[in-house]
Amino acid sequence: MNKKLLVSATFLTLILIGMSPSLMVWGQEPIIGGILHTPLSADAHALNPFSWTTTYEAYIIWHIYDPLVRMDLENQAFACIAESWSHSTDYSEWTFVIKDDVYWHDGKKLTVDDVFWTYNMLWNDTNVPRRSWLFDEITDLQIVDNTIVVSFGWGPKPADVLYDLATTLIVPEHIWDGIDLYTFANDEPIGSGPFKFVEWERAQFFRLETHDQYQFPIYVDGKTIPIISEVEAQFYALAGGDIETMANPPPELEDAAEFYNSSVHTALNDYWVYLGMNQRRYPNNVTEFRQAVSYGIDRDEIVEIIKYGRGAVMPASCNLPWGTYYNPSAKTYPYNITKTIEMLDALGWTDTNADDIREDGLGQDLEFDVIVSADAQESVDTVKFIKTYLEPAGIKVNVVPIIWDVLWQTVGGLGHIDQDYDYPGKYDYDWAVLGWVGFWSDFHPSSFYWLLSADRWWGSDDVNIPGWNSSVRWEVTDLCNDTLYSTDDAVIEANIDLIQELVAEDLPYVPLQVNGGTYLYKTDEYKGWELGPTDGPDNYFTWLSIQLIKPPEAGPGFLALGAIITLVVSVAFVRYRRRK
Amino acid sequence: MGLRGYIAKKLFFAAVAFFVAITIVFFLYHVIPGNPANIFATDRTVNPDQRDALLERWGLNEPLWKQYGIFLRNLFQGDLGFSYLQKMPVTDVIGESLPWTLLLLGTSFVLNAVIGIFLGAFVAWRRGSKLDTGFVLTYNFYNAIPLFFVGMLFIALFSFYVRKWGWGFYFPAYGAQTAGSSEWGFFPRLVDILWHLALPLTVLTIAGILGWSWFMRGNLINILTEDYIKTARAKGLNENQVLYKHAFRNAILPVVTNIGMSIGGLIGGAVLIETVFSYPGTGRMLYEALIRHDYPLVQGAFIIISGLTLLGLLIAEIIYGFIDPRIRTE
Amino acid sequence: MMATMLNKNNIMRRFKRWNKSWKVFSRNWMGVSGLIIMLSLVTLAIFAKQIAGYHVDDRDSENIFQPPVEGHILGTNRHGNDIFSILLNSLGISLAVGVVAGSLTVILGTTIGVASAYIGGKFDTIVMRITDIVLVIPALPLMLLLASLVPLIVDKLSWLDTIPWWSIIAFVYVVVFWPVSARLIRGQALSLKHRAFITSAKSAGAGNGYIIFKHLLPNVFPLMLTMIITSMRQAILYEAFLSFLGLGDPSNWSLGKMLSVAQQQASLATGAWWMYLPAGIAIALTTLSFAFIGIAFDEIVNPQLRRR
Repeated sequence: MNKKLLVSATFLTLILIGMSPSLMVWGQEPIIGGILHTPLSADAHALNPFSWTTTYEAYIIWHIYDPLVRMDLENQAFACIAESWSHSTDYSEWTFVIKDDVYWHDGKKLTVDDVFWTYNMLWNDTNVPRRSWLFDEITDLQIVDNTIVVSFGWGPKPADVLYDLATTLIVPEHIWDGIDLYTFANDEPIGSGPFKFVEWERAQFFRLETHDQYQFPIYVDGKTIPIISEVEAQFYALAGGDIETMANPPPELEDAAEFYNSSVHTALNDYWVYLGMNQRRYPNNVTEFRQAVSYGIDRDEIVEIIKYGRGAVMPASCNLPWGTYYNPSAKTYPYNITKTIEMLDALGWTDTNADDIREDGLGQDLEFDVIVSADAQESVDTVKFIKTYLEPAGIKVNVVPIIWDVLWQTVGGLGHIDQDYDYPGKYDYDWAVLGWVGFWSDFHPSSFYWLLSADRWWGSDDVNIPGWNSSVRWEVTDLCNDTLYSTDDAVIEANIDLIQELVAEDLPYVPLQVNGGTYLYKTDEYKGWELGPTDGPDNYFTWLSIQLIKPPEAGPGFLALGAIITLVVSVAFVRYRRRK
Repeated sequence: MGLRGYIAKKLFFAAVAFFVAITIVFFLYHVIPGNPANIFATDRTVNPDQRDALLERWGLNEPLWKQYGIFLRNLFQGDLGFSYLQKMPVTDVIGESLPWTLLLLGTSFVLNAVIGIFLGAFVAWRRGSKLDTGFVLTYNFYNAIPLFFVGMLFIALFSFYVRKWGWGFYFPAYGAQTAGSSEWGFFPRLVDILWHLALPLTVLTIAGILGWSWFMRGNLINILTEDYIKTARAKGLNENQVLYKHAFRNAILPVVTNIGMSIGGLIGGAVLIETVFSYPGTGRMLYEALIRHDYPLVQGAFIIISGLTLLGLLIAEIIYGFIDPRIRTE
Repeated sequence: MMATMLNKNNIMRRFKRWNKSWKVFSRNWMGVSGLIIMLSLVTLAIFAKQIAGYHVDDRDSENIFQPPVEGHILGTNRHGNDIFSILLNSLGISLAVGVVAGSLTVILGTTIGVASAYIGGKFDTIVMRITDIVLVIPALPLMLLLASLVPLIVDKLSWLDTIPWWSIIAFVYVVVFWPVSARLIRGQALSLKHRAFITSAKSAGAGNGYIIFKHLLPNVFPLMLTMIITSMRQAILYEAFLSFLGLGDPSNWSLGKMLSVAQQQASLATGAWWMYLPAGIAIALTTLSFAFIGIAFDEIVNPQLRRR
């Protein structure tokens, strides 16, 4: 009897530990209270979970709304509104069990109907911008008891369904029913997420308070999110104790972090930058030439100097260099300028007219204009570095900064303008420096399908930014489709390994670097920061575990002093004027 | 022409200028490549067709003249349009930021004009003295450094180093009020807002005062060398009478004109100051909307700001007409 | 008219007048120091390549982000570029923007202003309405609009490709600011037009060209000069503002860009003084020398200022 109690108690504790990492500090009551301050560097637009525009809004929205499943710090599925999920053997039917103790911020209970309403709405409206591509593949949607059953025409893998579809934020039917999704400002958002919306002063701050009926315990009273546009001002705020985290401080401040009771966390982002060599043009379509160029770029130095060491070299395989599907045996191009020279010599492209620039097979100078976004100083600097790297190899590079919209239009990213698939200026470039965000190639088997498959829009002939058109492209497309519909892990892994090797050899893109971030977070007031390899300290799991170290003390002393000074000055001023 | 006719004429021309100005802005801004849907450009989940659908919904694939027609029709109905990205009527968006800009600029403007004019007169009267040289040096030094950098210097000093050195007071480096101050009651909130206003206002006002007094000084010096001042002196008027009765009055006329002209520059300064101090004003909002191609919002902001400038010019001209009746007949 | 200009006596007289002006100028400490600073800055900018010792894009990977060390008298930035070389290069560009934009604005403004005042009537009204229109649009936002538009035009017209970015900024400045100078000059010219010496010249049968060149322009000249000086300084500052707001030339340096980079890298907080102090001093010196020369000129053309 006693033993049974002990066992069940241990069990319970273990579950609790699993649920809230902060309880690891055992035997100690968590301190309730405190407001967490995390800055945002620009204002949000409209808090609409289906048409948010910038990451700033997304950041706020993910405080307020919850999906069925969130991704944890290791990019694994974490049950949020869904209690559990299961699928039929061929993966074509997925069942999500909805938790029973989830409430909206207005106190109403979240039911399976809300989930159905959200999914149904997105399923029927193909024009919603922020919507998983899997909604196009749904054939049926049903409510069975407290579960929602999603059927597909084929069997999407757990990665697709869990990370792509189930991370769709759920909105309350009783508020969203009948509204126009495209004009809905959602000024007073009601969600079921960990934080309740209190106040938003535009371009100033957000105030959120803890959702007291949230399914997991939260120890802080709420969050305040001030909007601070300058990095320097953010640092002053951090040093002065106004905010608890900040991203990407100048490197020297990073070194001085301890002085301000802060710790440093570095993470890599799913954001990689590449050199796009327009393969519709000779000699960019010569694979050996692309390889030669790739050898001639010192990516380590680009990361070290331009990115202050924040980030990593992006492998030529177009797969982020960590995570389950990374194939380290795919070809890499370490900096080796002599190899570049050798390869160019082997192609027979030598400098015949003594102008220090080699000529290609058609006798034209190897001179390329690199278009780059004028407002991205780091990218412009990258091109300047590439220019100096390739100079000794007899390749001349010209830096051409242009506005981002023109750049995007030129490389073909728009796809079409007014149904004109061949609009003027499309693909009219030699080289370009651009980046890709959020392809999840570190853990998602479909990342190559989205990026490279000729059947999906980014790899299709309507967009196909680098103009990749070698035989390898079709081979990769077949492998991508095969991977998409396959459910056998071994096959998937083998396919993705092969794709990486093919891509690294054929170089549709010439990847440069993965961007990374450095974060400062204060450790004198709060504890329980959760850190992940691809997340900053301010994430969902931190919200669940963060707590005060000491009970809070009140007293806005500085404020009172400032007020007094302002008063004294103004009174003195008035007096002075009067005397005059 | 009577005063009423004069004002009517000015009003008419002001309306025409305003109309042409917003037309220019409309077309200029629409020719710049890019569109608001480009904000979704690099998201792998947003495909070109979805972006197209958005453009159609916003009416952006209509011919430009048609868009202009719609814009005008709405404008005459007092409707500035609907912000694509904020999903709110433009008037509401501007309504949230304009009070802050007016607070910052209005306060600065009044201080500039009042202190600037008197300081200018004061210095001009003592031209050639050490004080004057000091003023000339101060003016040129302060204006030699870009405003955003002056702002950064002030922030570094008054919100960082004073705290680091433990001086016991500081001014905030960002924002217009403390989060949650709306619940503090009227007076504490007012103090909080003033406290946040202090730094940006100081930076803007020092520049403004120096500029105004420089202008006033130049004017007054010119006038003090005119013949009628000599005559006034010869009549035996004392220096104060010469300064205030004759010189000052005449020197103030161009300054009144300058009021109108300086409003535009003030708003330009506001873009910088509001960015540096993360102040929630119209200047910063306009700048952010501009880079994101939120057409209705940018047009709306231009209309409001131009309208304000015009109002300033108009008031200046009317005051001018009052002070100097000669101008009416011109 | 050419004959009167080439008349020997006239030349002698002019020479004497210049000589006298120079004497006045050289007695004014502001003018002299302004001129000396100006000349030395211009010399530095012209011979930047010879003096600097490094190309702006040269990277010294041994010395990255160093305060002044051997070989780099003003230290290096985060890419290992030599700050002194960048400074000299930037100085050239900032001076170019200032001189081109500043003088063009005022010359254009003067031409239009004087013409408008002199011709008067409908022409005057139309010109003033045009200036009204431009003045109504807030300057900096309008500049932002134009600055993002101009690269597009450059893109369309390939012959514009070779034009450096700074000249585009200068052009934008001229477009936005000519009405200010046109208005001020017109005001001055209008008041001159009704003065006794001009009306008497008119009644004596003097031609339009004679009146404009002999009476109007010389009398507008002092105002024009002060305005050129102000306008040059303002152009340099506006170039800095555009850099700060991300619309400057991303592949070249200017003094304003040096400051905005220092600001973005929080050099004030990190104490990296070599990132902002040289640029700050250079901008201050440039604009100060402009201002000093302007003040000195003012005193030459307006001798009464010298009293007291």
